[in-house]
Amino acid sequence: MIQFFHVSRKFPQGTLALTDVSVHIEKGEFVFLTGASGAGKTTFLKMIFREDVPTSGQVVVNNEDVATMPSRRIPYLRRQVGVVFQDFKLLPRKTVFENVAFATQVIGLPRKEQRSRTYQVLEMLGLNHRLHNYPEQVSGGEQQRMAIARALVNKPLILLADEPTGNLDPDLAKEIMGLFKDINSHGTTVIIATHDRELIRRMSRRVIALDHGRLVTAAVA
Amino acid sequence: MGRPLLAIRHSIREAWEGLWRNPALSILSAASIGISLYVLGLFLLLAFNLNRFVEALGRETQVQVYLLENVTRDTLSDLRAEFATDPAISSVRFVSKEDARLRFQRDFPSLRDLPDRVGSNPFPSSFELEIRDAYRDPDSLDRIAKSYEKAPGVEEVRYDRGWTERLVGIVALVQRGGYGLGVLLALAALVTVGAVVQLTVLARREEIEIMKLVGATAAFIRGPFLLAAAVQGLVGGAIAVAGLFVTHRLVERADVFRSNPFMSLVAGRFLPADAATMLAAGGAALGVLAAILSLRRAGTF
Repeated sequence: MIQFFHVSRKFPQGTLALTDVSVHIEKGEFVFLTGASGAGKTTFLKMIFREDVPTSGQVVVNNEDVATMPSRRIPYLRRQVGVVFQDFKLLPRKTVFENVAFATQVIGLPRKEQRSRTYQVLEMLGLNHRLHNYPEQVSGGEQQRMAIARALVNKPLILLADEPTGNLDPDLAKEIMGLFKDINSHGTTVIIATHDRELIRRMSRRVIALDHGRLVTAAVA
Repeated sequence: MGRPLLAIRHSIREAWEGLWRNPALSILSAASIGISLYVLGLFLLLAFNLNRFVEALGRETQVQVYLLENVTRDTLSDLRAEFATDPAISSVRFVSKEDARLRFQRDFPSLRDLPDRVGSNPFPSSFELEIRDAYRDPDSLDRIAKSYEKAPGVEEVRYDRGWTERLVGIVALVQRGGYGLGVLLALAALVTVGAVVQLTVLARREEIEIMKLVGATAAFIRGPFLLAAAVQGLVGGAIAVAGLFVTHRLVERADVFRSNPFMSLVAGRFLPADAATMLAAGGAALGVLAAILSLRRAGTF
């Protein structure tokens, strides 16, 4: 599903974000991507949905080389990849419902289906009582769930989450991870970038560890 | 509903919301396009009416022999006989006083009351001489004119070729001037509308970023901006045409216009419908062009 072949990424100012990283992630896997801050986790994730490209090497997602893919194909790649950002990236002037439905509008779904999918995913994430609230009116955990709902509403093959529990208390973090487990059980490939060792230990899943841009391990925890 | 139709509906809805989100900017865009098209339109109007005048002159024959008020039938016959033997003349047409008056009223409809206000018919009768090609150089025309100047019954002989050529030159100059000024103003409008689009993109950058991240195509993101710019341009173009029409009417009704034959050249007739439509459509095109250039600069796609 996702393959990195000797991927390196050097930024213009000379920083090496990734150095010769080669790893395979199978369809339906649940993987933790770990490392200290600045290890290259975010860069790794960005390459999967073509927000960044390698300086050398290849990144193949669903049998397509994303670095050489024509620009017009990028939107279609991104529709297969749901992304949950560390800072949520919610639209402050749209309600909970509108923030999630937004993702269904851009792929051109009929209005009826936009509504039904959005209601469905919000119900699954326990947000159906918050439909008409704005992001500032809901809790941090609810905002996180909004972000997850938006990432899931288009039924992606891959779900990426960058430090999804970074801003949450332990109970909430546990709840969110339970959600990811559940999503994964339905066949979605899940990759979670985190430096929370306790979380990784508890979940006992495959771990890809990065250290200063280099792959340290890609085995099961 | 198919996806293309859904995308169009989305563009229309977002464009409409965008236009009303910041009305001041929308008005600024429309106004800047309107002003440039208004000035261009003024020159087009002037050139259009000058062209009409030149074409009317073009229909005129090469040499006109104006006759005295009291010219007799015998004198007319003598003149006709002389013209018939002149190798330079290919055909002759007699224009009576009444014919001349009717022709004036047809060519200058806004001045049709002028002859009546003067009192009697001020137009002289004349012979219009069509000159053969071989004799159409200025020297030959000069010689022909001089040969009939002193003939009985003749008040004056005129040939307007030089004047026509000068007028054609003036029309071309006016048109070039108009286009030049129009291009400058259009560039200014492009910059203004482009700045408005950039401001709008900036104001919506969060939304645009998320749209890109969840898989929106370039057309989906660009569509509303292009449509909004087209509407602003079309409104600007329509305002320009309306402004030109009002200006034309005001000039037509003003006293200085009614007593000045030259002013009738400037604003005798309004632009034809297809020219007015092109002007308004030009506004839309200008708006879309500004948006495309601005979106490229913003790196939106």
